[in-house]
Amino acid sequence: MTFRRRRQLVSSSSSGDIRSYAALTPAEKARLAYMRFGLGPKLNGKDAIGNRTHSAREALRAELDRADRALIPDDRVIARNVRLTMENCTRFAHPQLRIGNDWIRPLPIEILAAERAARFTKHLEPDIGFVERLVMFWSNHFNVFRGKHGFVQGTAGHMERSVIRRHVLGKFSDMLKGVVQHPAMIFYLDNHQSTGPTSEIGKGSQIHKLNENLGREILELHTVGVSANYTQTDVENLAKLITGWTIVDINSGLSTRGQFRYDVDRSEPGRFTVMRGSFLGGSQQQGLAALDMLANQVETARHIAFKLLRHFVADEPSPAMVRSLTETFQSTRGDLKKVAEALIDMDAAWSMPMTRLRLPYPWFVSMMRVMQPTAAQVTAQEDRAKGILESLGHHVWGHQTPEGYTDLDSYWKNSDAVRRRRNVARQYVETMISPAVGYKVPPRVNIVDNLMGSALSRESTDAVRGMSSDRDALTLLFVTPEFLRR
Amino acid sequence: MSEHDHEDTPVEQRVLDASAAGCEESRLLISRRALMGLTASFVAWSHVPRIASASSGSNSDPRLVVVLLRGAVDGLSLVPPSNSKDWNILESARRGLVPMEPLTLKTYADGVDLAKRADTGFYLHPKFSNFYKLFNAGDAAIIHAIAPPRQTRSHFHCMDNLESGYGELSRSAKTGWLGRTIQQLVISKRGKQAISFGPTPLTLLGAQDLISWTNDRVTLSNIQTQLNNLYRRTDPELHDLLTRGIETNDKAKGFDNLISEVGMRADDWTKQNNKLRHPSDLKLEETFRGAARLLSLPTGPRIGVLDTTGWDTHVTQGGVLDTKFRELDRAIQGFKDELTDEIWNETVVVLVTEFGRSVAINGTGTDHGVGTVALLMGGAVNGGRVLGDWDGLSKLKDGRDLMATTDMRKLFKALISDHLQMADVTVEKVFEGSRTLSRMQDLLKTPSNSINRFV
Repeated sequence: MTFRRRRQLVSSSSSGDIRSYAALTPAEKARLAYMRFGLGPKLNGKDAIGNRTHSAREALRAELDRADRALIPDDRVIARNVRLTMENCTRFAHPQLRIGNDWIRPLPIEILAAERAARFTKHLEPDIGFVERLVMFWSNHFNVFRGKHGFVQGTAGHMERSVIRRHVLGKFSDMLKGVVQHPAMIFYLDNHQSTGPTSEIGKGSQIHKLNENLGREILELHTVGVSANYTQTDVENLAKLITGWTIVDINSGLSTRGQFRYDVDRSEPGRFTVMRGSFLGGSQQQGLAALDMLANQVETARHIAFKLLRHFVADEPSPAMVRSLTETFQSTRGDLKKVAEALIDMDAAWSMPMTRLRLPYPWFVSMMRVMQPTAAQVTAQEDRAKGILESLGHHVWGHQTPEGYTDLDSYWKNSDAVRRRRNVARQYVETMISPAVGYKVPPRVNIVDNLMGSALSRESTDAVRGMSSDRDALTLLFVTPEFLRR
Repeated sequence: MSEHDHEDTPVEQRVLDASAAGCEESRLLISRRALMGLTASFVAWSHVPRIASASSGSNSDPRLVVVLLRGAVDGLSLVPPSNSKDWNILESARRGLVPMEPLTLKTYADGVDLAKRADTGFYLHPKFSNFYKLFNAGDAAIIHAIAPPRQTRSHFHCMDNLESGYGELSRSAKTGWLGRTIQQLVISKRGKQAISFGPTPLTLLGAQDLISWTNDRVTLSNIQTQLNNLYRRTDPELHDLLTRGIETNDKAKGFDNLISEVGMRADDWTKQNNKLRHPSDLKLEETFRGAARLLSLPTGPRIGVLDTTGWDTHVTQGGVLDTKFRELDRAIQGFKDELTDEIWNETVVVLVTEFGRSVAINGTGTDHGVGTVALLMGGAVNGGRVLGDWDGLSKLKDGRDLMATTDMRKLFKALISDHLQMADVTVEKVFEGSRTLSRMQDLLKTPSNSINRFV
């Protein structure tokens, strides 16, 4: 593409010449806080980040303050009068349940809709949304696909609430262990079917075999990463160490159907080496110890550091940035709150230019955050929101394969991307103001004056103000460069 | 100017209901957008130099389009066997749910009409009448009893397997066979522009410089003028992308440059738009026509992947397939109509699905099976033939499904070898691990001989 960038809000002249955080203007810092690290401003967002030198960074740090900030309690997620606890999610998440001719409700698709609505509602709460972005990062890192089976449809949301949100500011090893023991992940990667070849159930069986899927992805995606030095034997051995990590048969009539169950009859006996550690099969404790070992490997620290930087900052973070964040991960033994703090403490994380396009989902959420729909409105727009996100190719628990959605700009910033965002912004505003949803567009002067302060450029502000209707003003706002770039 | 949303295309309620009642797995994979029958994804076509003709040393400018039919199409309804033994087995197992008044495919081998032979011969579903004409004209062919190598009857696995082009489950570092093909073409300096319609499908992953187009049916934007001005003043890259996106959309919709929405007044736009819009309101056909228009551009894309879904006919299969075959048939005719004869003669469209469906009926539909059909159409196709190894319906896989006697990779290998003129060693790089799998022969009217192949 042969164009010259006439103006770039934030830039560094070369990779060796990083501007310091302090050298950025308050407007630049606010824009970065909202769009690079957050989910976009709420309507009165101008006041959420002050004007003092360190306000933006401090505002983000303040969001990390309370670990419980990320939680969505079971009580807030209800589908057809059923509170979505673990027991209820796994119990109802079987697609074929009927009494006579009637489906037993809630159906998995109804559970999914309730979980999605609760997630959207949670996204609306914080001033900036840094913790929500971290939740989304980890949820994508530990990808599960709602389309795999009704069971995953019904339990994916619970995994995010009970594991990702619980540990997002805690220890990585706790999050890893929680995920690998959650029925949604076990089912998604077929570990419930994995049987040790010489285990009680496995020996001599033609149908019960070892399934390496989860074992492989733990190494390749979740911990040390594909470029680390592990072998096929390591994959097999890890798979053997987590044989028996299964779920109560979803076809059984038991009330515990779908819940995690350690089945020692499926677990492979023996001693197994995985990378630098050696563990005994036939013991859930030893499987957990293997996961702890992997969580603490330097390759894991490096892999996670790289992914965090690629997600938040740049397609190709510099080796120095990766080294620095790796070092924090290692020295804190995977303290995710400290790692998040180290990320925003890095000057380079702020001064890398805003060349990338915001991914569809966070961009979409930022439209919602400006509008702040009520709970009823969130439910009313849910179906349309789902369709829009699917058409943009970025939706909740929507990535089929375990590596999750990419952060590479070239995938998202395709030739049709801007035209699509322009059209979707209109579609979404029209959806929200339709009688079915009933959102009332505020006067545009309220929007531009209070939204991001000077973080919204003078040209964008004038353009939004100059539209002939409040509805068009809102639509234009959503595709200003400030809303599209990160 | 009216502000109503152009998004909603009426789809027959029973199609929606039946699709919604498809098996659990496919129901989850069907999105409403996909029911509207589209997705496609392209790149700054006007700015990509035509590398192919400069260095290829040949005059050809082949087009290759892959159409993914997601959900597992019932090959036995689309191309039922016509010999009395197999037909009776099918009719009995389907309890009469067989196509009424199917079209008889006359296929010739050495002058013998195979349809009259006792042991082979096939019908075509009556709603596939445009394809029938192409078949009889020698511009379309059918491959029966074909499937991707992994036969697990899982949409998830098998579509992944089809798109990745590997023998086993694909790895986490994801590429698709067509994406790798395009990588190899770039390496040999014969790069071809590829387009996907909507989010990039796995089939194309790995290809660089993909362009994209989504048939989203929203016409003139209410904010275009001001947005255009804002970008021009403050963000040249966004301005560039928006302009190209609009230009591509204009081309795909068949709009004259003069009435491109850039800088046009609202009421003029609507008038022009309504005049030019194809009378058919069917979104799938519009998407296929758009694909053809873009593939026709002198500097446009040459390789594309189209997507349709809703084929998972667990219930009311008869009615659903009547509707969907007719819709797909119209779409492929629309595609052909947008091409000149010259371009048609250099085009291959291959339509594939992840597996077939059970021989026996289950309620009002069928369960997941294995063997199914793949379709080829285009002026470059050596048509009028039903290919593959047909073993009949007496011996079924696991006692329930048509067996797959052809590994789908053999079809894909033949296409990139003969139509895209790729050398054997390069084909083996793309389809790593398939060395013993020989490609299908004689799929094209004028296959390239080995002297013209490129590494």
